[in-house]
Amino acid sequence: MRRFSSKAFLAGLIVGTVILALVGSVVRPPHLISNFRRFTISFNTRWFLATARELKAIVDATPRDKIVVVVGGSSVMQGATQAGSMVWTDALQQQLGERYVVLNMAQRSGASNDTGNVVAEMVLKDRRPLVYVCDAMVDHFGYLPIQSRYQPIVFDAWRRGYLIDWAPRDEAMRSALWSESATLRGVAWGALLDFALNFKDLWNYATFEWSGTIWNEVDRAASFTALRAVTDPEPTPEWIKANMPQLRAVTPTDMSLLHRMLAAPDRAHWSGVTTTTETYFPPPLRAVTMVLVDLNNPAFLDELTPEERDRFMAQARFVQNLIERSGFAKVAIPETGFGSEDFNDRVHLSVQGGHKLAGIVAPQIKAMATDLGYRP
Amino acid sequence: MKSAFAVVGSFASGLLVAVVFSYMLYRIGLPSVPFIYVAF
Repeated sequence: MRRFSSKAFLAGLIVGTVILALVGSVVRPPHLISNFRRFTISFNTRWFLATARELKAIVDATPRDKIVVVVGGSSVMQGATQAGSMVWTDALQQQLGERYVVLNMAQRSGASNDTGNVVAEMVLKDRRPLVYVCDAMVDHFGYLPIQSRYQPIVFDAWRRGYLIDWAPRDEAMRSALWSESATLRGVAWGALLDFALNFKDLWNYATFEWSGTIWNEVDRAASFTALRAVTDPEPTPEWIKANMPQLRAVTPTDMSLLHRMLAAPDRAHWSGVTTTTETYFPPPLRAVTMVLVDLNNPAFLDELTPEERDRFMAQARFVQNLIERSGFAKVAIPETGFGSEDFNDRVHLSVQGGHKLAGIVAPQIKAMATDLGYRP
Repeated sequence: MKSAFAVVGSFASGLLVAVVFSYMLYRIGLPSVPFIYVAF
């Protein structure tokens, strides 16, 4: 009696793989597309990395007659420590008005070239009016692929043809398949496999709409709740005031970070920053990009000596000049008008500070839109 | 009849392995621990 047919098994394997790939190529989580506000901390704890197709669906869901403002970069731009209903990009949307649509694509611990740029390039490729707003630190700008935890998004988008053709980057992405770094090789080969099999779209859909698939220490029993049912957990200002007053206290760790920033990075470091910029920001994107140099909470800077404070500002201006020289449309240091109450910790803006930033940035975006010929 | 059951069972096993394979590819591409960046 035959109990097993290897031919039937192989047929099932092939048919199953093809069906799953086809399903993955068409499913997009509707609640992600229609309700997208920002990548919340829950996306990180659930291992949720958006796919390029999901990002494109979010872009496509925006009205085509609007000027698209994509916000990318670090947790400062993402609005970390600002409650979901009070995030600074909502204030920015309000300040800009109905002619604009703001998409907050910044990531916690992200950089200006690891998610926001992907979405910005999708908009550019669609020939839609765009202003890309992102940030730089006083000691660096942009990440090399090996430095960013969000590189799978960039490789996915590049592999699927959503990014602008830019020879230096294309070469870097191609050569990643043979990189000395096993991590980078894994990301590159993963994107190639996913290009054919669409497993990320498929399982992202399941994670977002149906159920988490991985137990984790942070969410524990709620690990298996669909991500669509998880609200943005960032606390309100009142909650922070009542429960985390120590947030604004200057700690030795903060001071050590500040001193490290001031340790005068050498020429090789800055040359690396320039190379990263030249490689991973195509010139058409630079032409519509505004970079904001993140400053720090004045209460923390007050702990530095006057000489160190001067060096901090000098370094911010050095970064500003360095980025400007690479052809970015605007590089600004929002240095005036911010007090310690505008920050929740060393670098993250409070709701009040976020609104202040929106008030500073909105007129500059409008001026850029005029310069770029978007408005009559 | 038993042979038909064997073929259907084997085919179904193939389908199941395809699902497991797809999930494994997805899971391998994720970090071994979640990224928890808490600003405070």
